[in-house]
Amino acid sequence: MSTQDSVHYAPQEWSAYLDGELPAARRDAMRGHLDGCPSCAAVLRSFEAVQRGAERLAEQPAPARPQLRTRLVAVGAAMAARNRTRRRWLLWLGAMAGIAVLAGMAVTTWRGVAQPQATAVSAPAVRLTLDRVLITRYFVEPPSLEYDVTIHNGESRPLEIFRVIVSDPMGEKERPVASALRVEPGQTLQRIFARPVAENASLRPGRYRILLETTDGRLVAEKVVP
Amino acid sequence: MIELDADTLRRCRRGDPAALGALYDAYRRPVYYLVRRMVGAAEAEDICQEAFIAVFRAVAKFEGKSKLSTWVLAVATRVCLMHLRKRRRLETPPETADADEAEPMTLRSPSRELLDKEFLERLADAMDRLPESQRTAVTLRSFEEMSYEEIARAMNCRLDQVRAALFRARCRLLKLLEDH
Repeated sequence: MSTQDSVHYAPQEWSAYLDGELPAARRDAMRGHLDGCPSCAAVLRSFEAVQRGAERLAEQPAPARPQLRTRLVAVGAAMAARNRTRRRWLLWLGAMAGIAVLAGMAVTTWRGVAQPQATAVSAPAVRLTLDRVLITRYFVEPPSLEYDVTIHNGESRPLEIFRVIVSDPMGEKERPVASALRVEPGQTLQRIFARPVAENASLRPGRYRILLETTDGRLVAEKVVP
Repeated sequence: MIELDADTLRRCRRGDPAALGALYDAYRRPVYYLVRRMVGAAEAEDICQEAFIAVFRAVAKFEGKSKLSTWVLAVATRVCLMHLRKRRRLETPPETADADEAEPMTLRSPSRELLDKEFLERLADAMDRLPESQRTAVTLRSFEEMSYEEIARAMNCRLDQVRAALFRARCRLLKLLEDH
């Protein structure tokens, strides 16, 4: 294809040419065409200018946040530790379940009938309670829907909370916790999570739910407003 | 872009804090830039934080089928897209692409303008005004290592959609720059 027959390559092709995403033969032909076609060369130059500009923008430095780095690394390490513990527990539970099945089969064989056993259910070591939901109106700020919660960490390691999701009859709002929320071992923490609502909003009947993503898994609590 | 060595990556999978710190340091700038372009400056810090938590959570499952840098950017892209989807549910529908993008504009003197700081500011402003898929494609493409195939994987779309999105983005950027 040449300028003599007044045919040009489509601009879409020059875009792909710039990205090196064309077959070699097509690319060579287009390169040859450029020498004799100022119009196509101008299109390519313009695409190049935008692309080089975007690459230069991508080289700009990001704001340094040493505290954020420290916190994220701590969360990452805690998640990996939890996953390791979970894997070990799963292996252990798998082994115990296998032994239990074998033992059960043996007992059933000997006694004929297996008796049902009562099981004790203990309270979870990490607990979240949604104490109340309400709409609070302030003098200056817009009103907010508030979730009063209690978080108890009965584990021997600290609990980091890094995301909160609240859902209610008015919608859902997910937000990462901006500053580190940490519950120390044995600590019980009371906290309010709030989201802004419209000036004329009132507490609607329905299910209000709060979910915390933590280093120890997900914690969920609900309250139904009649 | 920097690639972590095999030993650091292995330690990342085990949750070694020093290795996770090295991963954060290596990809903080591109991830922040990607997030900043995709969700805007106001929410960039929060979503960047979410993106790294997602990366740290999933790094144990990274199989090495692509470069680590590509994988990290793909995870960050998905976090951004999820966030934009949620945001869209709460807001009015985003602006759709114009139909007048068939013919590209040409810049009068791109090589001179490229040296200009003002040009970069105008380009950044224009990129913020692109429709979501075009903005994502052109941002990912600005990390030169990312091929169409890798961008398609990150955006969960087809190769031809990436090609079209990049072309339309470039046309629209040129138009916005000329109109400025």
